[in-house]
Amino acid sequence: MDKNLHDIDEIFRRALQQYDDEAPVCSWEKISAILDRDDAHKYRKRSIGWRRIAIILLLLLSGLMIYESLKVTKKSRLEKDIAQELKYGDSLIINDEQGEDKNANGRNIEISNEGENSSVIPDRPYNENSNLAHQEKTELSSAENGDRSVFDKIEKIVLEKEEALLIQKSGYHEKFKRLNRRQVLSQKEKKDNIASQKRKATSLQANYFFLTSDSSKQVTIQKEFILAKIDALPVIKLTEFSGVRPSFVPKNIFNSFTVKKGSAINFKRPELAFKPYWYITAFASSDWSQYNLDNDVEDNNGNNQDEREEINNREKHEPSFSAGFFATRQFSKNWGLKTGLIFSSTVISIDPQELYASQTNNGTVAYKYITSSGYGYVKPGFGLPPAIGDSIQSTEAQHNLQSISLPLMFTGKYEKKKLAIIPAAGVSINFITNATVKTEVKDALNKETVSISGLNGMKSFYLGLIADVNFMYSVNDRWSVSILPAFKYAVSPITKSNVVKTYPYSAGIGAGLVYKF
Amino acid sequence: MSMQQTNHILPDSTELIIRGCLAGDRASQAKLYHLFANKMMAVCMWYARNREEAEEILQDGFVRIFRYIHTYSNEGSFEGWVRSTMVSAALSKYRSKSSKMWIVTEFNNNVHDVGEDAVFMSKYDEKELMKLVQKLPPACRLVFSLYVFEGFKHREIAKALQISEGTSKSNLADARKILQNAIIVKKKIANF
Repeated sequence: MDKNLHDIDEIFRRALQQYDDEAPVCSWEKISAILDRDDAHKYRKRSIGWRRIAIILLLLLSGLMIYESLKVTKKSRLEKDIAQELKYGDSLIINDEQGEDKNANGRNIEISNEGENSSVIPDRPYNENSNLAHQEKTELSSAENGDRSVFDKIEKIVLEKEEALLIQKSGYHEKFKRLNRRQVLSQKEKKDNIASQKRKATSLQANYFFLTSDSSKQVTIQKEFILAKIDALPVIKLTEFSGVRPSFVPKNIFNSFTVKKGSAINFKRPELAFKPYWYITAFASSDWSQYNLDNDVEDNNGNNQDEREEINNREKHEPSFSAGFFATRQFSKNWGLKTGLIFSSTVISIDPQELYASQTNNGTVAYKYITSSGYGYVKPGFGLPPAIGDSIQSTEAQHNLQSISLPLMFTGKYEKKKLAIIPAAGVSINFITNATVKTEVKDALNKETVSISGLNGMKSFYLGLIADVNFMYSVNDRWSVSILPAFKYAVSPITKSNVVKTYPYSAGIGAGLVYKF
Repeated sequence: MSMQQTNHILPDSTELIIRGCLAGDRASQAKLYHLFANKMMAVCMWYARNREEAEEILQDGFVRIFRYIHTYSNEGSFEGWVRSTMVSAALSKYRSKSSKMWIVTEFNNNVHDVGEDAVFMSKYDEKELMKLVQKLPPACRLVFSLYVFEGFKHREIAKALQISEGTSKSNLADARKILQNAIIVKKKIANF
């Protein structure tokens, strides 16, 4: 039985080896359609991936730009606040212990520089000879949003200098009686609650408390220090004050707090600090485009098909253009990083040529039109369907190639007065967005206009190098005009499985507008 | 996959075609298809119930080949790899079908000497033999084909078809007996 079974197995095995069948004709077309769908899916996935990356980069860039511009706006607002602050300036408040009753009993004296030479003269002056005791030089407060490190520095400098000056000038330091901190705070709280609401982020407030020797009178000299950032320099300005010295305030003390209107004291002028900033360049450029061709596909003997010369001879580049914008982040005085979006359009005219019929990817037969960017198939509506080897004549054709580039470049900056020269170099990712060929095909009797779009053998994106020099002339603080010569070169071919490998390059000169913020 | 390695086994033209397929070139894929289509169609016919089903398997198989050609590691012949991919496609097709196909069919258990039948069968052409196999229940046909044509062991068949070894053996025995019966009938008709 077993032997018989094996005989059967052997007979069937032999039958299989001998059996041959013909695959259905339409089968390849179906397979090709499935593969096309696969390719389309892969392409979609890949392009979605790139799109996501591009969107994320754009979002990050936008976020950074918004953040930076808000920061700048905030700074501007701060400077405005300072200017406003300067209007009412600091005040010298001489107060007694009676607090709330101060206006009624006239012991409250406030001198401010609201208006030119305005002053409030105490309606009941203190005895000039009264022993003012320097109780405590204490609080130096800053508002929440101030730059703490700068404030700390200021605090240190101000306190050291002012205290030394005050004590030295007053000559009363040996008679000063110290108040404890709680006492000082309770004294100043009343005023501070109101004052702190008025003071903005950049104000510093120093309160000097003086107490008469019998503790019956207290003098609070509240001094406002304004931290102003002028020309990017933190400047400590003792705010302007002009007024008549109250008779009870010793001259030397009064003078130590009084700064002539319009003058400023810079306790310390720090190093010139660079503020990073953005500028956007919108430009349009006229380009001269070319390409390098290399043989790509090998024939059955492993030799490169020499199509390079033929393509070179029949294709001629027309003037092309590009337009877009660059966003540049200037990190330091001389260095920056530049990105943006460039749309480029290249036009190539193609001489008339003979098209030969060959089998298309889906198994049908059509005339093959080969360009440097890829190939397409033409099936004219007239005449009999072509057989492999048939030929047809095409007239002059126009080949349009459009791409979008995302560059990333390092920039250097050399500035002299209003002119800035900014060379930049980097890499770019280039997406081919459109590739079309328009031509006419004709035989002895007929002529038909054909348009080939979506060339085969062409990549969807390629990598490139990019370099430019931005000659910028400042019109004002914000706006500049720019001349922008640029050079672009593809380092990866734009073709895949075409008869040639094509590396496009271009040189162009553009003009643009620059906005700095 | 290294093209340097394939030089030792594949003819230059096949190597170029594979290279083209690896690069996703449709023309190379077409060439590969035309190179193996007829041979693989024959393979598919033995695994299918009819021609239409064989065509489906052929298409699935070639799509698999183009998708996974990068996994061809130069171990064994390329044709062998193509064939095994095609068989995998056939198995996938049957795995995705209803479990009803694994019901063991009832048949005549009478033992019959097929030695004589073998002589008789040799008169048949391959097409008729193939039709006999195609008429087998799907489970039996698959087990029989894998065992006889691909040289699979029952353990391998069981693993490939996700059945037990016992079921595989049983299906093979069933297939042989069904074929015997079919041959007897044919013989009787011929004698008649």
